[in-house]
Amino acid sequence: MEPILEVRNLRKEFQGFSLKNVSFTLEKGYIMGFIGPNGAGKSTTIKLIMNLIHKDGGEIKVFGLDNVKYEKEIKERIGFVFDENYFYDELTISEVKRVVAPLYRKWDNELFHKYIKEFSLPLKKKIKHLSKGMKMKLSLAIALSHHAELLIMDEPTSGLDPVIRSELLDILFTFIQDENKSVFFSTHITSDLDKIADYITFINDGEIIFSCPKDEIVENYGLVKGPKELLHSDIQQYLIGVKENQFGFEALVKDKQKIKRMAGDNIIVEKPSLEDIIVCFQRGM
Amino acid sequence: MFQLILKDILLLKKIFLFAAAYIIVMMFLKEDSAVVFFVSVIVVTYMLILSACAHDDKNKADILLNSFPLTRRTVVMARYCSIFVFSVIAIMYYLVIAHILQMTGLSAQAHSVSLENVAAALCAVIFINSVYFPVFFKFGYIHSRLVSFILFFGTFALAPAFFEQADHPLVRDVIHYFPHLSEGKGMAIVAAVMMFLLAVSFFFSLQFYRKREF
Repeated sequence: MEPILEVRNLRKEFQGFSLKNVSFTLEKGYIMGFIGPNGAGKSTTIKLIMNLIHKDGGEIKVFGLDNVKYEKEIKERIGFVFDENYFYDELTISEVKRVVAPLYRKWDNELFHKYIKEFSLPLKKKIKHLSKGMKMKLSLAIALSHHAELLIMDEPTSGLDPVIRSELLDILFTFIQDENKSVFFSTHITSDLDKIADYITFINDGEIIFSCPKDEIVENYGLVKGPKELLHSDIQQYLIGVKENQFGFEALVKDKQKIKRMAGDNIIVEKPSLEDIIVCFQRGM
Repeated sequence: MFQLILKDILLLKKIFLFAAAYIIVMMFLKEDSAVVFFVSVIVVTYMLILSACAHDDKNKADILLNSFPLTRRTVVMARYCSIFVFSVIAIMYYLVIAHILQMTGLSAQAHSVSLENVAAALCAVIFINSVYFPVFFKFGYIHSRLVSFILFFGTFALAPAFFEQADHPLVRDVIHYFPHLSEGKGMAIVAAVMMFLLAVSFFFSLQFYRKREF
């Protein structure tokens, strides 16, 4: 089966920052969390997928089609939610719908009104008078009302309260029940991904550190705690983002079984959260 | 494309009211109906186009528009079509207001409009925007404001100066050439020149906009 999103050796140069051969694949029916610290290249990658900026090299295929050559066809089948509101402040929700609906061949008016009701959005209210959560829900209502097969979301939960974030995750979970649909979701609030993501792609300083199933990360990665003496042994080369304290050290390892075999009872290995992984990788750079 | 123009119209509701007020004031201030018409169409169209561009800039609309299933060509084309839509709106505004003022007896002046008046106003509007839009699509609204300002006031400043130079040999040659043509042919030549100007302008705007990053 063809991947819904395929990025190969994607390159983009800016002054002081570059995206270096970014590659990852998202299959149909899954949610991929795209994580990394601020300035790592998450939004740049998403803008490249949306053809809002031009790549310097590499390949992006959405639904198996080149994202530039078949831009219009692809965008008919994509729903997008960005980190900030880009809908016109002066328009009401009803006016936004009037402008946006005819742009999509598969627009479903009934479905839109169902979401408007479900999200308690006031049709006659201007966008500028909506809360941040409501704006995000409007973006989501529009993204879902044209039967998008791929949702691309750039930090959709940033600045939202836990209740709305939880609502969003429930909606995504329902959306993904159709196995032909996928979600590509960038965030630095990793606890959201702990709940719903199937795959995690981690980008740091413009480079993909890993892109794999979340379960694989949980099974293989470990947060190691041990005495400082171990820092001078063979183990040291496997430690990422070492943090020393008066009792010993704490670091991330990619293969916890290997470290356990090497260090025996001298260490404690815990399950790292996605946040631990981001922090350790950033510390280790 | 129609949706993008509709979006502008929905955003410019307040400006439409202001435009009506402007035309009414102009009708009371100036006596020459040809001048009132010419100025009204240019000013109203200028206001509408610039406000639409300002709204797009304020809302970072390029990100939104280019995330929809629209090509960059459609986005640029919609702006060019809005020149005609807004010009027609300005002309209709003028005609309706002039009619109402005459019917109610508030203005004794007969604000009639000839085809030449319409053609002159359209030529000016096309000229201003054909120069402005490539700059707008290259640099965005903020950096192109000065150009639009110069073009707008330059048109009013240079139009009388051009006619004052009617004795200049080059101008005389041009003017003397037209009487040999029928009115229809003359209009067709002017229309062709304007369409050529628009086409060249559109070509550059599209090239610039295709290279823009958002």
